[in-house]
Amino acid sequence: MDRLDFTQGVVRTRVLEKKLLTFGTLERLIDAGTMDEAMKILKETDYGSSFSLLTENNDFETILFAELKRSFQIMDDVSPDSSIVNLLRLKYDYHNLKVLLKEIILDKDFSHLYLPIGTMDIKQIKTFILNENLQDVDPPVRAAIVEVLTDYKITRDPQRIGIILDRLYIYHFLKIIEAIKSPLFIEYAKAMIDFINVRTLIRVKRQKKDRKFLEEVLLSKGNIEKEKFLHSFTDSIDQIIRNFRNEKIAKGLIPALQSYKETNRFEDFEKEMDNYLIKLIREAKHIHFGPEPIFAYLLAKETEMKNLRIILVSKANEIPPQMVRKRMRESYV
Amino acid sequence: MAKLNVNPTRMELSKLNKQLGIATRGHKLLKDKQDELMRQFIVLIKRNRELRMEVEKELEQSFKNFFLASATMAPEMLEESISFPKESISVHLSRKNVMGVHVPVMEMKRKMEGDEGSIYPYGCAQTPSELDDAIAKLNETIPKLLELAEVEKACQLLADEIEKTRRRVNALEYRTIPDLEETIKYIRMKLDESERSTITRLMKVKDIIDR
Amino acid sequence: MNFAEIFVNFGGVVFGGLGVALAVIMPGIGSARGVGLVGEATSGLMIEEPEKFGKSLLLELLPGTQGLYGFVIALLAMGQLYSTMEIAHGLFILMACLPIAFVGWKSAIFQGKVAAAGVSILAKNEQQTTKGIIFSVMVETYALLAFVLSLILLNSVTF
Repeated sequence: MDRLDFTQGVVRTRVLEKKLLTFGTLERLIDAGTMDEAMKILKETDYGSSFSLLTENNDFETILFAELKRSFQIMDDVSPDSSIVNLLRLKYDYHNLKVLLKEIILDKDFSHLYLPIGTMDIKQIKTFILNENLQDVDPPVRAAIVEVLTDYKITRDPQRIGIILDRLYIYHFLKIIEAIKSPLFIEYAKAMIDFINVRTLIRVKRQKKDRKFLEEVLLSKGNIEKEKFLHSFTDSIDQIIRNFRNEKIAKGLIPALQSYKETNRFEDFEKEMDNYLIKLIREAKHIHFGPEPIFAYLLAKETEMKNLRIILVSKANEIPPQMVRKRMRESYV
Repeated sequence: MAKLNVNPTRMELSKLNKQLGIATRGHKLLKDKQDELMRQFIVLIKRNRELRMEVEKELEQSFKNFFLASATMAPEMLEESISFPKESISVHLSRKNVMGVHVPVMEMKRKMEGDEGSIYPYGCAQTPSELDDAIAKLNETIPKLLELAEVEKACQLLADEIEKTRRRVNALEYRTIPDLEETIKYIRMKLDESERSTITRLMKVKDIIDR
Repeated sequence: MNFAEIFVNFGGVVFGGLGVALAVIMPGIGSARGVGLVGEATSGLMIEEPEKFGKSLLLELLPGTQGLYGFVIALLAMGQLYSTMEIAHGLFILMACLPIAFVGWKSAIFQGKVAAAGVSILAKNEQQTTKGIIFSVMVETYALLAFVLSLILLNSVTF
């Protein structure tokens, strides 16, 4: 891929970046007294265009989803190479696959759980599976479907559906990234895998599962070797902090682990993780030729929506502003 | 207080006397029963309150975790994560007799007894860890929730029974027994009266004969 | 007449012509590339914010100057060409054209990149556009130096 092909897309992305919510707007949203007030503030922003979709029950999820869909459509238009946008759509594809497979195994109707922003036509895949004819399905997806279904026949364990698809999603993601050949993307993906692995290590310890299970759920292809996590399985949290002190992601990981140690909760860990990744992707601000700004914009949009969701859910549950402020992720701009 | 509508005969009197005896004994027994029920009820109510507070606290925490999880991911993704539960729990129902009241006893049966780590039906990579906390908390709360249901139902049933018993006790104490006593008194007086009139009549007859 | 004779008789004008051609071709390619790049960037900007056309035009024109320099040098060099030129004279003209040919070619592309990045500044922060323009003018310096040198070289030696 020629990096210079992205020149036009990058400039358009820069203009769009200006429309991302600013720190000030987020602050105003946090301080809004009621849900209605917050919605009024949101209506003045770029999100206003989706307000017409709002039904009378004031469900902000409709707006968030419409906005997500719109961002993807804009980026489809902006990006000369569809693989960049598809990279971020992949998450929703695999989500849809999970829903689809659970639907088929349980013979239930989960159609309300589909997120129609993936790249695949999930209805078509469903008919393919039901007709037991997977020839026309994308090879990695076909492999995923076959693996999940055969595994379920043997183990009858619904958790494994999630585990297998999560793993295959990450590998699929990495495969696309490796084809794009952008060092920033690779660094992003590896840092994400490392963070997820550390989180998994602690979660598995908390869930009191055994080492075998850990080996099963750990992702390979990160910067940190899988063995290192397995070795750390019996270590205390202090020891784990020491073990990973010299890793590449330590700058974000160590504060995350420290906060986990203090509170015994993951709240801050996940925040630190998101912050580290968004800081990493901020590098794209200095890139003028290449796919990175487009990728970064979509990630920024997703982070923004995460923040909005935190604010709006908190408003609905009457959580005080200072609690909300503590949870806010750093934004891209 | 109204006397019963009976003939003032000796037959009735002995019948009523017997009835009164039974009523008094019954009253005493029912009173005892009521006291005991009351005692049990108070114990249960206390337990109920404790449990309810605990359960409410735990559920609140669990919901808080859930809210945290829901804030960081799309609702569809959250629902998908938990749409296919791994663990299945059934409840075995039996009954227990407390002072003549049948209260339910619930017993939980889980399919995955002993494998505590298996309650999470999703993978680790795409779900926030707050979801773990929420589900673990819910899992801890379920036995208590069942016990709460059990105790609360027992309380309801006992309360009903206490109410019924008290009505009976009251009926006996303030209605049946006084009524009986009054009627007995009335019959006695009536009988005494007729006895006196007989004596008077006899004395009169004797007077006439003597003259 | 064999090849050696042609070379000796007309070598001068051939090399001179080559120099003239190179002075137009190389900076021309570079400028086209550079202007094209910035054009792509600015058209991206026009989709979202057409009112910024004026400022973006300035950035767009910057990488175009190299082509102009090359053209000027080519015209001057062409004035010195005649059919019976000595071979040394022809080679000298070729050499004199080389600075602007190569520097013009590369600097136009690099300037195009800087200017395209400058369009990003224009997109995000209109007040700071001048800085973007200054940055891309910096690249111009070297094209200008090459241009001046080519100019002096052409006129420095008389045959």
